[in-house]
Amino acid sequence: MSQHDHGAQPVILPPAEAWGVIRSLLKPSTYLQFVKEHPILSLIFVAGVAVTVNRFLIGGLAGTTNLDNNNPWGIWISFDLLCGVALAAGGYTTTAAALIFNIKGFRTAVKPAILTAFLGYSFVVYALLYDVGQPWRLPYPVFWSPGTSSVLFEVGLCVMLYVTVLAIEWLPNFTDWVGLPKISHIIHKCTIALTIMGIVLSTMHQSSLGMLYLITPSKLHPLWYSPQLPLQFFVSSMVAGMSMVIFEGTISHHYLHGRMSAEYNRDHDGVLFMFAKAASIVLFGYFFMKWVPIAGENKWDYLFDGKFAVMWWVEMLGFVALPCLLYALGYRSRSTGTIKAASALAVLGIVVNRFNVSWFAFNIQLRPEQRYFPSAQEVIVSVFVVTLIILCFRFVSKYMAIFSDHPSYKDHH
Amino acid sequence: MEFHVYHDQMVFSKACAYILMAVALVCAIGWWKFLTGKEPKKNSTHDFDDV
Repeated sequence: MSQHDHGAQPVILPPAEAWGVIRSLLKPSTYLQFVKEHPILSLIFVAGVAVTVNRFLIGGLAGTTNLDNNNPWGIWISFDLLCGVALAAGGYTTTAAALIFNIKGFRTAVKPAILTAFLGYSFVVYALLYDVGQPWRLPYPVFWSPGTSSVLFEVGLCVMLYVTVLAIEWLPNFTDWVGLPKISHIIHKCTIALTIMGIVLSTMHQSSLGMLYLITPSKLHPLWYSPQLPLQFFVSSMVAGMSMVIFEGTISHHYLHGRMSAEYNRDHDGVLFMFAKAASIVLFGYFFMKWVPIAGENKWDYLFDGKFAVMWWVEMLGFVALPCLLYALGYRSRSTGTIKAASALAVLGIVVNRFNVSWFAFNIQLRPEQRYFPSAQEVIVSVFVVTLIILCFRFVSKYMAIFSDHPSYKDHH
Repeated sequence: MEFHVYHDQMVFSKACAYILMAVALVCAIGWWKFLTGKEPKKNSTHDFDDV
């Protein structure tokens, strides 16, 4: 069991200086300083901006991606959207535990989880702008021509509403920082309503993302295709959310330890253990849930048939059963190291599962030369988006009271 | 496995699903005992013991 020192309250800038930080973002010298301090990140930025210009002003989708009529959804959907939404599920799992089930030990994990979810969903929408042929028409399905019988309509509507809910839930961090406590106070009064909305909307769109693939029984390999895909996506999103909170908390502890209050440090291990217990139980259920369509639809023969069988076994044993066991062992022995390893494996497992469903085991009817492989520019955009999320998280955590209560308005919360 | 009529396949698949569910339920009890085997008794005031 690790021991964290219960450090002093982190220093939060007074509101007057906060506006100075915001003004400094408009100065070129800030960015020149950034380039000097972070050359590799700057290189990723330059590459990302170059591909962005190519995507929107020069080459379009055809000049940027390997997408075609056979493969209209590529890595931007598989990674940025499907993985992004699943891994941002920490927002609803943590708020449900802390505010609906009223488990007090989770309270300190709420603000980092909401920030992760808010940034995750915001950049899912941002990444979608690259993928949609006419991005300025993104609001059309909701406001102009609602396709209410379409699963994609539900996903779009839910994501739009949930990003709004997350923005409101996150806003008190900003208004506390810049000295507008009245706004924070009003939002805090709506916390339970916002939390319930967040859970309902997450339940709907996490499962609907799986439902998108119900239309593809002839394209998706039988080991992954199942009428239970929506349920599998929803249940696995819970694991993804809890694992991501542990994973993100571990990294934050390493790099942002000075920003964490004594209360946060005290509760950190407790959050780890309870999420490990919950994740282990959910993974156990998910493991058997994945076997149900194999048994119920008589797909036993596929389990020992070629490379897809190997991929399925790797996913099931390496990224479902193993993290489930590691979480249980970590919880039993109160070993934070084992739990952190399990969380990394579970996060990777979600990526593997979403890639299998939407890419590796998808479009299996095509000839090998017709199969999709992402272009370098597509990969650059995905790396660019992840870098943006990390930088935004670091900026917000550095200046706002994410891992502590704001010292000026502690009594308001 | 080959079946000559659809009914045979349904019976076989359903039977497999029922056996799987029975195995899952039995395993779930074992898993719960394993997971919570080292938990302390619920007589402390720690926040997490209420779960």
